[in-house]
Amino acid sequence: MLVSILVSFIVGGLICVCGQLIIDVFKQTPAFMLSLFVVIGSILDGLGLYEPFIDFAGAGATVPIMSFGNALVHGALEEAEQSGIIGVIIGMFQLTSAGITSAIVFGMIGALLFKPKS
Amino acid sequence: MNNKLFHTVAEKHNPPRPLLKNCVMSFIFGGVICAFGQCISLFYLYFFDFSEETVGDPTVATLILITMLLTGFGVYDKIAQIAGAGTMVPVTGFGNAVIASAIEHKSEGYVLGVGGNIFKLAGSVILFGVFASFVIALIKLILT
Amino acid sequence: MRFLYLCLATLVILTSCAPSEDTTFDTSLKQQYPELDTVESIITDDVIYVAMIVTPLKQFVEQQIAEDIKNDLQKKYPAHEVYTSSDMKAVIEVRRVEQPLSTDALDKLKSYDQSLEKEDE
Repeated sequence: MLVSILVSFIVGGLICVCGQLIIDVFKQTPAFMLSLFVVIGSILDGLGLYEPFIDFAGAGATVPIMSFGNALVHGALEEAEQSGIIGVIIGMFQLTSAGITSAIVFGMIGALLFKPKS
Repeated sequence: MNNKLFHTVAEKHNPPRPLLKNCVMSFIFGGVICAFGQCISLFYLYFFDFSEETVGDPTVATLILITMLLTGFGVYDKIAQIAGAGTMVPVTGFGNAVIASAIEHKSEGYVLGVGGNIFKLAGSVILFGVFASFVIALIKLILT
Repeated sequence: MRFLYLCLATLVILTSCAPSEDTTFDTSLKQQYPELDTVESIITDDVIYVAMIVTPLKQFVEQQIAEDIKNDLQKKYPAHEVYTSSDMKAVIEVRRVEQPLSTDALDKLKSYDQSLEKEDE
């Protein structure tokens, strides 16, 4: 089980290096790089490759922003199995709820608690 | 001095882009954040009722909570300067973008300031993520 | 600094959770399937439950491995209900479960069997 910590360190680090290369070598903005990564995550889950990747890397696959794309597609497809094609719209945010809700909630709490720098 | 000569001389004095250093830093910091996330996952696996499939949710929520504290105390920005993509790629980067926007624009009021700007940096991630997922899910459903 | 202590404490707790000695069933399963790192099993009169952790490189296909072992064991022991899981949580739960196995505990363990979820779909 402790091996999983090492694996997630290496995999997470490698994904971040790819992001760094996109910014430095291909001269793109961080927003572009992050959006690209989310789309890559969506494509990988569409191909059924992201879930085995999570089995292998654990947090090394669920912590990078790519897992957002995976969760969006996964939720959409799961709901589509139950409700038909309209399920794509119904289920999209079911699995990403944790990430987006906590960002919004803690953003608000942060705004309430902390002072701006400027 | 003509244009061409000026550029040749100026190029020699440009600071070299520290690509290797950036990559090493982003590897280390990104790896540490993910490894820490794995520790959090193991914690939730042992002491709570989550399985390996569902443990990603509380892990992400906990990491964003920690990001809020680091952002609020101004520590996250200092780390981000050294770490580059190492702090942007993990979901903590997304959290920091949202939370930092919220805190920064608090002076403009909650409705227009915080509410109007909270997704300024994160908007493109959500837009392209949702739209791409929509298209991909439709394609997959039509093909199978 | 306090976070560091919390992490260290968690790691100490994790490493001190010594797994129980392998039963003969576990050992024979490990010999048959070299990709198994850890095996924890429960065998009652009607049920065989095997929770496993596979070696890191094989974790890409761990759900398939669990399903293969399940089908294999079902053929060998047709009188028992066989369940397998590659989920780490299943290993943790099997180590904690009290004998004799109650129905609730078994239902909880069954929820970690991923091939059952696929049958439902």
